[in-house]
Amino acid sequence: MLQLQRATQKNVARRLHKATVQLGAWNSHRGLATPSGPYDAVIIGGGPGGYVAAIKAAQLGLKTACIEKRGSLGGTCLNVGCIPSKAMLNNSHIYHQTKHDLQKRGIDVAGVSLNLPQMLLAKEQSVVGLTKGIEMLFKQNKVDYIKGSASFVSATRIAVQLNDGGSTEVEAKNVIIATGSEVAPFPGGAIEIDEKQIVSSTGALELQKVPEKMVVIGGGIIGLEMGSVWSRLGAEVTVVEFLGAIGGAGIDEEVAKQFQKILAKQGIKFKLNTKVLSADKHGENVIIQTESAKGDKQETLEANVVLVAVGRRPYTEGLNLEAVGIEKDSKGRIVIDDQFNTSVKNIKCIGDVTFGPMLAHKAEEEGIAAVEYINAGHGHVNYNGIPSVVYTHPEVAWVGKTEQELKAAGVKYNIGKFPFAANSRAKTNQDSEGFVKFISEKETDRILGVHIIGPNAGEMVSEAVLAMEYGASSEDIARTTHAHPTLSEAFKEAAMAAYGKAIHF
Amino acid sequence: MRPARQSLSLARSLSRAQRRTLHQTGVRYAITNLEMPAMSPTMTEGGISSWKKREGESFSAGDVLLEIETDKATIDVEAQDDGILGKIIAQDGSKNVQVGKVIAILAEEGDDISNLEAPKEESKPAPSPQPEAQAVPPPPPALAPQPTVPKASHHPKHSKHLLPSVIRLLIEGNVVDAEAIPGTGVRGMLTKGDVLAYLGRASSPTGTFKEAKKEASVPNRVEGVKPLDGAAIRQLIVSGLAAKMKPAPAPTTPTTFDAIIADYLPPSPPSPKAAAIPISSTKVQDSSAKYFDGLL
Repeated sequence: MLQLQRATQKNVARRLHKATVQLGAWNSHRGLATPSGPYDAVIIGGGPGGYVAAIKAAQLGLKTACIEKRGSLGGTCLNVGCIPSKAMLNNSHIYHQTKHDLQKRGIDVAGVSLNLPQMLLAKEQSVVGLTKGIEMLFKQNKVDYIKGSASFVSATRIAVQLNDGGSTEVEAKNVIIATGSEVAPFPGGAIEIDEKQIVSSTGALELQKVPEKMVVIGGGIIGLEMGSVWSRLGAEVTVVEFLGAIGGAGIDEEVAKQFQKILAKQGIKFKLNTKVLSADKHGENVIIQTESAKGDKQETLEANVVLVAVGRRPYTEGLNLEAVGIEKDSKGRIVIDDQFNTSVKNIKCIGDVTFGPMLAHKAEEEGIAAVEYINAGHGHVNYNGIPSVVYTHPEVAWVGKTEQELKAAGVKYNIGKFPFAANSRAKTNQDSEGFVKFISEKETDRILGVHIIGPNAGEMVSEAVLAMEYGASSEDIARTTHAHPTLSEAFKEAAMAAYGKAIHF
Repeated sequence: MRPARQSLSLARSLSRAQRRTLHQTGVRYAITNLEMPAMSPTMTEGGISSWKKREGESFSAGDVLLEIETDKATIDVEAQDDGILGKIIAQDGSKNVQVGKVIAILAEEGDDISNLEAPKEESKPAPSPQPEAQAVPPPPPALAPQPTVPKASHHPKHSKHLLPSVIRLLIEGNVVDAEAIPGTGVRGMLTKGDVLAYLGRASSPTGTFKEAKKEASVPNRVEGVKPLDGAAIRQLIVSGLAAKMKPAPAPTTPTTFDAIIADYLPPSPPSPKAAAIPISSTKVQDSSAKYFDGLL
């Protein structure tokens, strides 16, 4: 017995020795790699999906690095998307309100004028503040922030071309691809974006002069938000949309109609069912050729600035996915299973670069779930509960199914609608356009979708998401106390209307 | 004394309220029972040492009506309102009077107290409003959030949080065992649809809405990742054994000992030593099924 034990000990000692020798050899082979050994998780991309995943991974105790080549964290969202556009939307709204609305509220102001450089600076400051904030969060949570372009060498090895020059390689047990998306070019390449006269959403946030005439190609969320900004600042905006309704995918038709009416009243012109054929620069102006969707009517538009907002496409440039055999679909999206696994075992993928709506909050949820899969083997994102918000004024927000989707699926439903015109707070705010629309299943009263157009819709929709997450019925909302007087009472009353009757309408 | 007095006043006001709703008459509009008060939380019975007011005598708030003896002390009971002592039911010197038993009938100025009678065993073991409250029909379902939850005895009990609509349905549907309803909500919570389906008022917990199992773009989850539970493991073992019991096809290879045990050996080339083991000719089995003879 004793002998056996001794023999085992000897064996173990020998094995250990061998292991150290091997480790040493491996270390010297690694050369450029970070001296501290392989990472548990390396996240490629520091956008809302990637940076959230990185922080979550570090919080769960994983040794984490995040590779980002932009030079600042936050991705499209923080740098050239959600955040700067919200800064412009908010400030342009204040300007517009000051100029056209304050007088009837009993506030006389004189000499109101636009200082566009200052407005752009304010936008820039909020962006810089927030991106630097994420860098701080990385430091606090001990996420290694590698500034450079990543490229796969093997499934566990990533080469990084550093922004400051030079290169390095990192070893990773798990990789999450979160490289996001980029502006999709105009289909067929007929229109070239120069970001001066013909701009994408990025350039539309940087215009140094309010254009006299602006044409927006695409009546989706980005087009309507940026169109609103420049319209408020004085541009004559025309939105050209190929489809028969504005608002983009997933919007309820009734909401879309109301939305278009309200925006038209604000001065935005719409050309629906219209195809853009070309946009050519002629000196200061851009000439846009359009054709009706049926092809029977042609028209020429003229503008100082054209915004191309026809969508976004997945971005995987330079990742060298072919080297590790990561599969992509016909639209360039990385193919994943329901646990965010790509076709390569230890590589996951989240956000815009894979399936689903291209929304920052969807990417965030996926980032957290993917890290939880790595850490604990399970995670969850409820794809039925991802809200969409358009931050125009009034805001438009929705979650769940539209009336049209349910009709097509043969689902029986109840509709509960409540106008903000009957809501006391909206009335006192003199801001009472729009309505809340509940759609609940007819037999069970379960909430299937909520569509809001009106003041503060973007914040209000969270309540609908929460309710749907818990399988609530409209009665449950109707029996939940909402403070008085608030806009959220309209939400409650719409729920009441869905299963009974509203009190105030 | 202070808390005791409060509890007395509570008991009085409750019993008065009940009497008013149930026995309202033109004359005796303010007849109330004075019940044996609980002077301490643990007191269950007490004696009446003496009444300080006589029948028909009026009193005002704060007057001492009677003295009560408990096992610990003698305590004055004061009147909370002005009134008339209508009838004394438990006379001086009564012993072991249960808390909640009516000891006197109180009236108000102007009431006809000429023919007051002692209540016929209307006394209750404790001043609890619940049994009488049951007699009151439940309020019709309202649209607005109910200001108060239903009476305690009606409130459905469940190990999980109940949504407001679920509470209403459980009460209306007289569901006694809510735990018997399968919950399809978060972590098994009951949804309105669950209860409606249970009550037969909906075709399924989601009604006509069929949730898509998965997003179209997301492939189905690979089954088998879940850990096996006990039943599944038993099933696997039994099915494996059953398969083994089936008569094996006629052996195509010579039935040597090596051939039979090959499946049980590690997949390494047989060492010369193993090959050197002599083959027993007497113990050769003609099918592996025989291995399990007597074991199954």
